[in-house]
Amino acid sequence: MNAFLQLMDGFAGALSIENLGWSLLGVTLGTFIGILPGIGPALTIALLLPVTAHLEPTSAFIMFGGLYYGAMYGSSTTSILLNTPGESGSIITAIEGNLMARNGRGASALATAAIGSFVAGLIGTLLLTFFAPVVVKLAIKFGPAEYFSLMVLAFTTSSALLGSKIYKGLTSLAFGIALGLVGIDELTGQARLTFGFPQLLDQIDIVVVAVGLFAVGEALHVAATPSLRNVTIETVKGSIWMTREEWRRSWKPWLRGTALGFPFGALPAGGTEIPTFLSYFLERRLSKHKHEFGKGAIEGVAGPEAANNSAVAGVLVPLLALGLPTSATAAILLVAFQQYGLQPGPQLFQASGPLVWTLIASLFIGNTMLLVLNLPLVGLWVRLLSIPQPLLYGGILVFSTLGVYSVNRSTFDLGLLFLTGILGFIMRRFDFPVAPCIIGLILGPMAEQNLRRALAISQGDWTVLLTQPLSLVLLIFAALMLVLPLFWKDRSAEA
Amino acid sequence: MTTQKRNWPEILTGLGLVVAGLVMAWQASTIKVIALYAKVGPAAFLWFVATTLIICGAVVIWRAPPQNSEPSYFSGPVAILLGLFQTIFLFDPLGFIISCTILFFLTAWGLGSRAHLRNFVIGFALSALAFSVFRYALDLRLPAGALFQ
Repeated sequence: MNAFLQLMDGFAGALSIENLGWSLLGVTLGTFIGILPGIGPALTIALLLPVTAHLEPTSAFIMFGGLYYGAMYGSSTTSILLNTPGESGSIITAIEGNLMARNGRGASALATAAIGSFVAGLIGTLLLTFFAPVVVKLAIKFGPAEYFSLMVLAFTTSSALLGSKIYKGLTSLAFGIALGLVGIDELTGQARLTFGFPQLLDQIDIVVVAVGLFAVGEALHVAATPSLRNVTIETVKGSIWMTREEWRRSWKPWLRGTALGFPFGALPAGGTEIPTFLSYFLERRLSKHKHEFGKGAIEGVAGPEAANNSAVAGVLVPLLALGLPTSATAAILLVAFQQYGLQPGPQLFQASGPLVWTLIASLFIGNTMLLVLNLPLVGLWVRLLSIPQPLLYGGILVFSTLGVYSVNRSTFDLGLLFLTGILGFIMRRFDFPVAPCIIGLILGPMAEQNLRRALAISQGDWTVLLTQPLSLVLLIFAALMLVLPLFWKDRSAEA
Repeated sequence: MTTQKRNWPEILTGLGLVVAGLVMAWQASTIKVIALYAKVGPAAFLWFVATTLIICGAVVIWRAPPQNSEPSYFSGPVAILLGLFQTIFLFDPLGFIISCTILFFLTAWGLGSRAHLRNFVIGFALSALAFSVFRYALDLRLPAGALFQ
């Protein structure tokens, strides 16, 4: 019950007026950017990094945690009313959710999404509370060889599971690793991929790459694609209070979605997208109202929306306990920890225990705030959707240049933003997933460092990666991730 | 597959990947390899990236799907890129507010808005507001414009 006591201490910290304020700010901002298409949690946290450098780490992480949760709540609203996902975790929600809205049941769809998100957030955060310490105990046994193999697993799962084609995922990963290698090699002092630019010796900042790939890439993609330009907003019709029948049809999908989301978030398997897809197909198979799927079935909203919120809680397990990001947002959160000189993993739980537990407690509080923000107040949020697209993207790009410039106060970074923006556009245009690139950028140099350490310890013997049982198991899983998709081809055709 | 048009944009992307891979390989080959105890020199990961890009680029060319039929706008992305490009050179001399007003205006134009006066006014107001908030409340130094000082 140690975790329980520490959590109670965490609540004592999180319930201070100041921390409640940060939590409220985080969940409000999260809902805001979740609803707005074209701007997501990874991008927002990246843009906030220069500002939050002055804050207490606890305040900053309470805000970021609330923001990550809030984005998952808000994005369902956009999926349902606009038929455009606010975030990648809500892609599948758009199918049934938008049909419900067109049939005058928009309010019920929003309600089942919000309550499902709350249930999943609550259970997911509980699981996080009790699993994270267990993973920490396991992590203590990890040496450099195990960490390297774990990162290889994160590489292959994110490349294989995100996006439609594995070779496109690997391409994105390779680009990310290349971007991560730019600059001086720490061990040998050699300059890599700097092409003679002194500004590149100091490594490319994650903020520049994230903003370029997400914000600029998305704006260019929308500008180039006619079908993305013309969207219609459905008005919210019906009562926000679900009928008895709708409750009866929702609660099981909520729980099943939660059960799918958490492990997929926690395993290095690429964040929130996959469990939402699995949840959708599972609900379609199990539903007693199969004929309603394709016409607006409430199960098709309830399941995936629970799955994405519990996946977010799951993502925090490897991030906090191992220092391993499994989604683009988690990768940027890791950078935020490093900005404060904190290294997630067992050390974080020991050295900064109060921070971790205050953060987790604040997630419970934020989750409750989000239910209030998103259920009775949904009418206010919906008005955000009426911001015309040209003005929305204009504003996003103004804040993007502001954030990128603020990192180093350098217009050279604006040049890099221009180039990574073009890269992000090409990736969207030709269906290369973006997340593996961000994961490669963050984990690439860490993997290199751990591999070097492992080989230094083993005196140059490569077999150390295979003779350590944990490392071997991780590498076998990593290899399976690359091989298995060849046997179940074209998942995209099914979706 | 034979009756459909070749997907040149996708094939060019694949070629671009192969070229990027070759550039990485060239960069890796120029790094002086120092005999290291750890056996993983500074070029090892670069070689991995180079190989992956060349192989994946080849697969992209080989597996290019038939041409997709959705037409695309060119002027929109070009306008947005122009807006971003000018920030690189005009941020310091003209300052954040003017440069970002231009960026906002061109982005809105690129996304199809033709309400020029409205876009200009909103862009200016937003940039000025962002400048004041970040400069005075959050203490982030943004360029005010060297030409005006």
